[in-house]
Amino acid sequence: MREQILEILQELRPDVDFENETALITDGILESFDIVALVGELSDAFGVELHVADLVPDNFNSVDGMISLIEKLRDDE
Amino acid sequence: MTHIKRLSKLAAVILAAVIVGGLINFALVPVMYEHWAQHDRNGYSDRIDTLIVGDSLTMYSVQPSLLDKNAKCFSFNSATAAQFLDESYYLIKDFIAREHIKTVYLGLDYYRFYNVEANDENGLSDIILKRLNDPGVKAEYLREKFKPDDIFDLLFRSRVYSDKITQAASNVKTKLSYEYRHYLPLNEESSYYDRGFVLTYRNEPETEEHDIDLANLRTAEFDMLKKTVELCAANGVKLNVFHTPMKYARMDSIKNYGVFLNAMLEMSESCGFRYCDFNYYRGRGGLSDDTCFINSSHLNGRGSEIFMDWFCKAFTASDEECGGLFDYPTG
Amino acid sequence: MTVFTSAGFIILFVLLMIVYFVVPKKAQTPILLAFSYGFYFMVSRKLPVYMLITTAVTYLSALLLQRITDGQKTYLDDKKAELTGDEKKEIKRKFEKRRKLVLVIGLVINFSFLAFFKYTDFLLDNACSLLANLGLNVEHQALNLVLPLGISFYTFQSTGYMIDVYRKKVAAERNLPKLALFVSYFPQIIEGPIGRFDRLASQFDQKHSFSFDRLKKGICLILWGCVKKLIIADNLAPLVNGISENYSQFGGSQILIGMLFYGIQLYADFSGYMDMASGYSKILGIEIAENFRRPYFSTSLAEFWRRWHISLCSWFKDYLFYPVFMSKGLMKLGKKLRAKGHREAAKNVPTFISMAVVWFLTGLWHGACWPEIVWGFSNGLIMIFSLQFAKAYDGVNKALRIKTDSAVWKCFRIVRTYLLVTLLNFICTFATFRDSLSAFAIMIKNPVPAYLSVSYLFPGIIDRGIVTLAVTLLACLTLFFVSLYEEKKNVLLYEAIMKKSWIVQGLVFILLLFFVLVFAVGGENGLSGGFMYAQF
Repeated sequence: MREQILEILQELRPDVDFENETALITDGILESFDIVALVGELSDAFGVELHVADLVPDNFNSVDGMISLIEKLRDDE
Repeated sequence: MTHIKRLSKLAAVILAAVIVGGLINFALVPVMYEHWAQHDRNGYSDRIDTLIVGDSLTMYSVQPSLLDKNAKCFSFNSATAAQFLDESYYLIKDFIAREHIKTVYLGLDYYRFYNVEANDENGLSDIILKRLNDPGVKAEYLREKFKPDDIFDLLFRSRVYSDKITQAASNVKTKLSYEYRHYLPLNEESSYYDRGFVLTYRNEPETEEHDIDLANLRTAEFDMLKKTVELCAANGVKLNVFHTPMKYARMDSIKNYGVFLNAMLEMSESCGFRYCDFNYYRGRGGLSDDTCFINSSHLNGRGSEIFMDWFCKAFTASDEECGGLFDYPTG
Repeated sequence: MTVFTSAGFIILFVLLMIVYFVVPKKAQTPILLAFSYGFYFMVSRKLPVYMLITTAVTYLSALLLQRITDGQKTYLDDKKAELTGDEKKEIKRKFEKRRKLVLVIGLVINFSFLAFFKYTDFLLDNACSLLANLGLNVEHQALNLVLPLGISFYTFQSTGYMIDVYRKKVAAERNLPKLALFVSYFPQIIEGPIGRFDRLASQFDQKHSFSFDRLKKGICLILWGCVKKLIIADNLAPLVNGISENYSQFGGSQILIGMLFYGIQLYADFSGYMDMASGYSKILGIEIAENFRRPYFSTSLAEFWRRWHISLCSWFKDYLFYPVFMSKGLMKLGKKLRAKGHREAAKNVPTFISMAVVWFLTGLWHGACWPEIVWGFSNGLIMIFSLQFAKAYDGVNKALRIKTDSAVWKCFRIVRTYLLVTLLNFICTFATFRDSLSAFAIMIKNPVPAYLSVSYLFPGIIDRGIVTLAVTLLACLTLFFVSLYEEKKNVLLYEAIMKKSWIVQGLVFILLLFFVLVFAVGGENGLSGGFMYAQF
């Protein structure tokens, strides 16, 4: 899963070092347009339905955060 | 950092602020006649028995020294620029409280009787406040006029004069001069002369017309006048009211001046004070529009000398004689 | 002159400070609450009835939401073993429905007050013109309702909290005084910023003791706010108002200068007020949200809206943009487009639709009139276009061999953005659309000044004297350099100054204090002192 997510992220924002960043949202590295692009891609790639409530910094600050989010969504379904 | 250290640093900053504030005030607050006027009043305090009030029309016209000679009194001219009628009232009250006033000469300004917004609400004046020596009258004045936001202007007078910053240098120079510090007249075009009177020989030949209509007069002004009459009556003070002469062309441009004149003549009859409008003095022609006026309405030093002759004649004469000195239009 | 600079408020605030720092922690929130309600009454001269109702509705619906949420959790925990996956899903759905219902009812009630006061006349006007166009002439009397003070701000602030509770981001607040204070907090009530519950209300829980450091910073902020609002904004007002009200009397260059200054005046006014609010709040130990971050240094319109009125845009982003974007309808649309291989469109179309909605409503929030709506929508449209044609734009830059990372190019983008913002301001600054177009036409036809005189270039302000004009321009320059410093060093100047020696701090304080005291235009009841020769 990690590889897939990284691939999506790098294509979206090649200028960011997603491997090491842990404050993508709180530091304002990813902007709202990046998030909206990401949401669609992730939901398609992993077959999960994201909700507004999921758009919190913890879930998107790092790749690990995104992994946990997707896993949680999969569990809930 | 110990408390003492911190407090002393804070005290140092506050002290520096007070000093800087004082310096700014010294530089910005302009040289004003107040400096001399108050000194004079305090100096002659026990002797003053006659008070003259009004606005700049009066300030440039009525000379205490000439009045004293003819009326056998000791007078003081506490007229100030743009003085409102209620401010005159407070000044009269103050002088009655502090000096032994027997007579008051109140100079009117037709413009104050004109229905215009600027006349409706005059706020606290720091100049008038300073001229009130009596604590009781001062308190009454403050109670009437003070609004909380005035506190900034009162504590830091430079606020009112911030546009005078370009004159700061000359202002400081004057304030440090020998004449200023010893209350001597400055060698200036319009300088303080004596006991509130300001002498100037400035002269503008052109006349500015005043295209206003006095058909509807401000009743508030008459109410204030009535209050003044009552104040004087209650204190056994003789009240005399007058209007200084203005240039003919100016006079002609004002519509319905007659309404104002008649209202005043009526009031003087019913309230029992003498009213003299020197625009209608039988010798009016003796004042040359070209040489005797600062501008369209204010007499200058030359005009004032001639005017004082008429003024003294009119107010020392009996009622009958006085009536004969004026040629009021009938009807 | 604002309430924050009136002698009455300052005296009351000092009294508040004394009481606030002396009482025990438990009493601090109720005291602030009482002061906030007193402040509301002092400023609006009316009882805060509608704010009370909104507070009550917010408080109760949030508690109810929490009850349902907690109920759902306990129910499922208890019956975890017994239920099947499908049954669990069904129960979750039921509870969700209930929660949604409570939220919707709460939102509708709160927003209906706002809608009623702010938009009734607008709706009636439009309904009548629509009917008139259809041939039916209906007379209606404009209601001219007076908006309850702060309703645009406290409504958004409360509904943000309700939505946060619904999203389980925060727990519902049981302490009514704390919630009431969150809704009515006096530094924010008149002009914002729109605060978030987790960041603002959590500060009400802490004990606040007097801090000399915070007092210094607060006073510095307040004085700086005074410079911006009382010296820059209030003095630019006659220039800007003169042109917006009587544009036909002015030349093209005067309109251009006026509109350029309008941006400065608006920024100085709004951010100056924010600084004062922030300063007072800081003295009490409470930090309010940032609302401006040197917006005129933005290199694009999108960046501008991340730096201007931050709390409003952030509210719209979190509570409108994302919900709309993540709504079933748009998500489905995106999926469909992706399935057909249109990856770009799949990302863009839902985004653009959401943006259109947000910017339409942003315009509407700013004013109940078509010019404001068009203004908002135009902002959105421009940003949509720049997103859509971003790649093409990059291509053009490459072809023209522009060094996009050079300082010159950055300056160009900054100036371009300011001009764009000024252009957009045309839409809603004049009385009607026609006026805006006429004014714009005059400006385009004759942008070069006919005379290079001070009275021609600065009409309006010059009536207040050359000293006032000079001081205003000096203040503008100071503002520019301070902003430049803060932009480059990414630190607030007053914070930097507070780190220097006490002598430097003292000097800065004295400089600011007297600059404001001497030159800030006083209230309408300024002393009638003066040295006037002529009668007036």
